[in-house]
Amino acid sequence: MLNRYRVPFFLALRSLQRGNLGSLVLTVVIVGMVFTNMIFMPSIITGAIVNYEQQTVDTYTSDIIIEPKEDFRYIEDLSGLLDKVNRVPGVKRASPHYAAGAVLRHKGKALSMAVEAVQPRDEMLVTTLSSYMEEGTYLGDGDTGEIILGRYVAGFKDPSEDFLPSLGGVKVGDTVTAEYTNGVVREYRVKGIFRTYSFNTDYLVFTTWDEMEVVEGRELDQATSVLVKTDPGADENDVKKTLLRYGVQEDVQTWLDFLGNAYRNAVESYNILNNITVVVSLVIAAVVLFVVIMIKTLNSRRQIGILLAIGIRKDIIINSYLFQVLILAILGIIFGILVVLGLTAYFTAFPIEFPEGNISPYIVPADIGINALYLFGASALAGYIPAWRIANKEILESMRM
Amino acid sequence: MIIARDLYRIYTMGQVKVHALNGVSVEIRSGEFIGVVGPSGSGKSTLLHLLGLLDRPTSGEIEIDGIDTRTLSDEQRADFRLRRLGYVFQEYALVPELTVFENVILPFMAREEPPERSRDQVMEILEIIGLGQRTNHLQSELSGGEQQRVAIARAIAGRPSILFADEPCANLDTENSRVILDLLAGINKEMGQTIVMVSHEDWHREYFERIIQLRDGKRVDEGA
Repeated sequence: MLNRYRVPFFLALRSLQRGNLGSLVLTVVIVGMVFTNMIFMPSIITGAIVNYEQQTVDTYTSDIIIEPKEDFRYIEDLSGLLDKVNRVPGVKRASPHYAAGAVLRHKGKALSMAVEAVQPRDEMLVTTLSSYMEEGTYLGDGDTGEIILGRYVAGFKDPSEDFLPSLGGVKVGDTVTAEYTNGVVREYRVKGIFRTYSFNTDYLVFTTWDEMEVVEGRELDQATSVLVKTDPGADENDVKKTLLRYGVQEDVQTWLDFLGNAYRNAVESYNILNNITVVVSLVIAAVVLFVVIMIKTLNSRRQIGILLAIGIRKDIIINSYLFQVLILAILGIIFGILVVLGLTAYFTAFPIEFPEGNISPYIVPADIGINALYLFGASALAGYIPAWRIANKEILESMRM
Repeated sequence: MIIARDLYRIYTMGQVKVHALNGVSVEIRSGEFIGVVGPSGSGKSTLLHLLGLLDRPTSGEIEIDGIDTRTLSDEQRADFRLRRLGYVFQEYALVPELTVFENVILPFMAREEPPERSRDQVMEILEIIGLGQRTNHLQSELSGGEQQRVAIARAIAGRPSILFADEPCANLDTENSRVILDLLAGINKEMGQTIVMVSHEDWHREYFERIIQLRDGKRVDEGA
């Protein structure tokens, strides 16, 4: 079996070793760049998706979000629910949110927002929002008369930097007036401004549970949502099922359920884009290698005819070109992997800045293997066809060419 | 030994039928140095291609060493050529990326012969043809005559039953042609190698033991 491939491999190796070095290097570079394109471009899109999901889970929904049942505005008996949820295996901590509608005013600017009340100690176990303070500090338990604003709520001094309607450049220490829908008007000192680069999160306003109880004028045993952080390694779908089994009657959703079909469709669309990139790259690689081998075989057709004449089998000649193209593909893939690793290291150290945040390439190691196999297969086909065509011509026809 | 009976070869070129060979019969005994001569278009190369199993006759039969070649499949014909026949063409057709040694050992590798023995045989034949000192040179480093000698070495190193040479001196000057012809004559004499050689040069006749003369696809020599 090995003997069968010894001669073609020997011929392929010698052809590459002693053939045109410039052509060899150029082909390897092209295949390498194609491989880079197959891996790197999709890794940026995947990086953006992963970044968005991470930001959403870390700062907006946590792993699981519990909302009131349909047709209900609030989750009632919050303390009972929290006791129950915090006992469920796989739950690290639950953090209640209470949202109240208000008009925020600052220096003539007004913004209709929901002010969300949280219990800071619980919230810090459930989201990482506290680590995204761009200015000032996060809320503390028992704070009253203070709020923190998302960057897009606070806004920028230069209105052209605003993506959404804002309060026009609020700074820490400024006073913002909140006119709640229940008629209560409160003046807040801005304690901090956070920026996560997630549009959803950066357009939120938070205050403390104690402050909201002042606004509502009663002890709150209600919530508009409860965010649940699962233990490290726990699967949110499993924890969701356990929550339901433990008798949680409210609407329990994983972060992915919460983002909904629209998000899943968007991810699907991005995956289609990634697949198109891979297919186009494969076609480019196949065409390049096809042309390289076609030129080689056309230039050598008389020699191929004579090799056939002296009894060298067709499969030896075909496989010699096949091995050449496979060696070129392997060298190209190795070069491509080195380029991809270099680019990944660079853009991990210096992420690409997008409005949605800094995005680093996200490479799944299996993708490298799978794409290398695709490229290998496409290369084999691209090398085999021209070699097969030339080796199957009549001997005398080839010799006369 | 080759016995060819009543060989016809008709090519169809568009609407025209070209009768390249018209009932040629030949018998070539082991150890002969045969010259196939005749004017251009007489069918010399066609006869050589048929005898060398590079082409199939339109009709007629060819027997080599007692084997009726009509019964051989394409693969068997390729194997037959590899193991029993040797070829030298006008074009030297060496693999440019291989050294002299590698070019000559290539058919041994294709026959999957033991490397040690192959190496010894290749070195022996390269010494005989006077290229023992140039084994590591590439085709581009050799003269035309040297390249043709390498092609001859490649053809005879495996000790074929018959060596076919299709105008091997066509691209060489007289001096180098003589070197090649002397070499072929020496191989014929000393090794008993059967050689069938096509030539259109009159002065080559002095080297041939017997001549097959063709004109218009027919034999016109005394043995016809």
